[in-house]
Amino acid sequence: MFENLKWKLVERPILPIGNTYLDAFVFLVFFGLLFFAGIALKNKRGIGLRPFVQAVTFVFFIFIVHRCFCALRGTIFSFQDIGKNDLNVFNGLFILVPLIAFTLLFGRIFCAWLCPLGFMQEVFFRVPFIKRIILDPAPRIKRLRLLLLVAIFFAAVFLLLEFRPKTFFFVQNIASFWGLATIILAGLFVLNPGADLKLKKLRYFLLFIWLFIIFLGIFVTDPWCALYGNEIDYSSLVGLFAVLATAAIVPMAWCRYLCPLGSSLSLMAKFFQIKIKVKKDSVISKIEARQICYVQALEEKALDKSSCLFCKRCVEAGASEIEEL
Amino acid sequence: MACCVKKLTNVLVFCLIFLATNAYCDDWTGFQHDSTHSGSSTVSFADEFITHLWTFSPTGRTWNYKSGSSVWSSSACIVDVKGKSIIYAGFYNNNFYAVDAKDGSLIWRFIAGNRFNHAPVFAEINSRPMVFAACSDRTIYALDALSGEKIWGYETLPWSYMLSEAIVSSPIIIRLDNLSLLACAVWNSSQMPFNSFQKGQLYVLNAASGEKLYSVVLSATPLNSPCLGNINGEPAIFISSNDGSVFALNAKDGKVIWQVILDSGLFSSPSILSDKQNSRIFIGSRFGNLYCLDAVTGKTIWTKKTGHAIDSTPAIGNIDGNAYVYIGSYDRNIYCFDAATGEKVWNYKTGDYVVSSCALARISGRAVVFAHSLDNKLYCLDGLNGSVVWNFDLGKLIWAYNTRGDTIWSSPAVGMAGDKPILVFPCYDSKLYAFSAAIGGSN
Ligand code: SF4
Ligand code: SF4
Repeated sequence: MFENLKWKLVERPILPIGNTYLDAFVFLVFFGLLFFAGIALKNKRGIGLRPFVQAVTFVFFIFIVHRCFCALRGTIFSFQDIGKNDLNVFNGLFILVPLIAFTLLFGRIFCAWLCPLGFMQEVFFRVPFIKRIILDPAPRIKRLRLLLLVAIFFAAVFLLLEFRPKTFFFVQNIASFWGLATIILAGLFVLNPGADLKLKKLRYFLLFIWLFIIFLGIFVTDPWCALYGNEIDYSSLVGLFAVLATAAIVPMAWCRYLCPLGSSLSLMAKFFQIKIKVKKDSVISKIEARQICYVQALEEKALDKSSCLFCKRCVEAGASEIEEL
Repeated sequence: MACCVKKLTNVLVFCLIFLATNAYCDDWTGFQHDSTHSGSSTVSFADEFITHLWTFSPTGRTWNYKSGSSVWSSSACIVDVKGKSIIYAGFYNNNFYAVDAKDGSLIWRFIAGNRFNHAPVFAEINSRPMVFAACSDRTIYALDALSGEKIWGYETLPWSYMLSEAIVSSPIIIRLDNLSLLACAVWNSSQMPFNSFQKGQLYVLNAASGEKLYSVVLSATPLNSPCLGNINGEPAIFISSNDGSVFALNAKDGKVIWQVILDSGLFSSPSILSDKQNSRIFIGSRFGNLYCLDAVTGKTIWTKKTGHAIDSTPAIGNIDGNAYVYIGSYDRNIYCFDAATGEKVWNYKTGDYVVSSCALARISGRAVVFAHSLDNKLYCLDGLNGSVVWNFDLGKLIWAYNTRGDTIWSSPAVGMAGDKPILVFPCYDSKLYAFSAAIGGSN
């Protein structure tokens, strides 16, 4: 049905590295965007540039980059190829190295400023009508949200059963199962919003499973394979559907509870140079905190550093301040 | 008198037909039938009731799958050697087999130092039938096609502790003036500290003696199987590399005529279509594009996007004067494109990835495509509309799992077992399956 979908405007490497399909242009733009975001982040008025950087990155990754951006699978596979296939090693590491460097310097800057999947989820939160429903604590709305999540879950299961290959090996198709898990965890959150912090802790365990599967040499799929690699593969399509649809009910549920890349960046960000903390004299209420921070990292008097994406929205709102280490 | 003339004419016509069928036999001599990788045979099955003929099971033992593992047998070639139909295929168990095409009985075997992943090539060199195969032990072997005796072996690199298993291609034969050349790609790598290397190299050897005529390093990554065409009347070798390049080389001296970089890794080998006006190259990419390139310049004539990676080598068929390109994709489809315009003619959705290449033949004169899908089925589709003519359930994979894009799968081949058309598929269960129509067919 979707076989011939094609949305990439550029398909050949613009600046081929060593006569190969690897493109120095992708590296340079990625590096440049991270650099720009880093400067903007440190600048007091830079926050206003965030939507601009996000939009540029979105266009760049979705329409220009024609490679899968598998920072985890690609990296582990490339480490396994050291000494055997230098091209794979380079391919896996040339995105990862700047990503780690900038995460150590600026925290999860990739998540807040660059990641197209994060951006796509965030867009729902920016639609006033959806935002109102998402944040409305009324029991009637809560029931509606639960009902919608159940519908999304069944739709994803239906897609999974409809499009899965006849001989499929489920671990390889992990994106679709992680997508279903996103809906379930989002459902648990809607049922009991107080469990948010506990559910967030789960992501490290899920990251461990994900990495272990890759270590076994299994080619796990990601929800973004379809977007970045233009792969019309059922597992990443089902995963993508689940992630985006759930984001309309629970803001950025994938980023909060499951994203393996986000979780590993959050571990790295523990060492980074800049921290955000809630102002001592902050008088922000719980409801206001939720209005500001879509990953619910911000509370009345505290800030969950491991979930913070470093978007600086709370700083702009006057609830937090930046602390340089 | 008139009756005598009629009888004489009948005898003459019979003799001519007899001579024609015996003098010309459409052998499947190497990977994808011939040195252009057309994958197209003129063999015609008499009817569509194709049934299982025999199974060749060389080893009762199968090993566990590991990442990067190969299929249990290479693609096969089917040839008539001095009146005897023989199938040649190398296997995972380091053995190379010659099997009687009529009943699947073993004729001879040759044991090498490592597994055979890629199709061999058959040729008569100085009237001696020979079969050539490249092995993961870094060696290209030339064997006597009738006895299996080793005629020569060319070791591309002497053994050392730090060498990895070689990744080789299917060889092709190039007839140049009075010389027969053998072209084969070999990738060798060494993990020797401070002196490691990875070299994808094309070797061109004298097919009769195994003497190296020239070799050319084209990439740091493995190369796919070369194919033969010509550029402005001069023989040219076309080859693709895993790092995304397609090369055209002068077959005489190995000089690179052009190199184009495509969108992503290339695991598909090029195939060539030559007509009166021009020669065109077809190749699939890991980004899912099927490319049609101009053989003289390497410029893109058209591209077509499928939904996922293409690792299979395009097969090219001529039906009613029109050329069509057949290809399998990881998006689970088998596609047919018009070779001239790139227009999609049909696609057939199977239950899983289609990684191996298609084989083209005929059933009662109707063009058909044989293709294997990882839904464990072997399909026969109508060449013009893609409708299913026949399919065969090959049974489950013997591994629990195979890494996507990392496994070499063999492709079906079509040839003659005596006077009977035969379809051969080396399967992932370490067996070689042969199929034929209930009643005979023709060449
Ligand atoms: S958590 Fe994952 S999906 Fe979300 S913004 Fe970060 S990398 Fe992107
Ligand atoms: S805590 Fe502040 S900086 Fe961190 S994600 Fe929430 S709003 Fe953005």
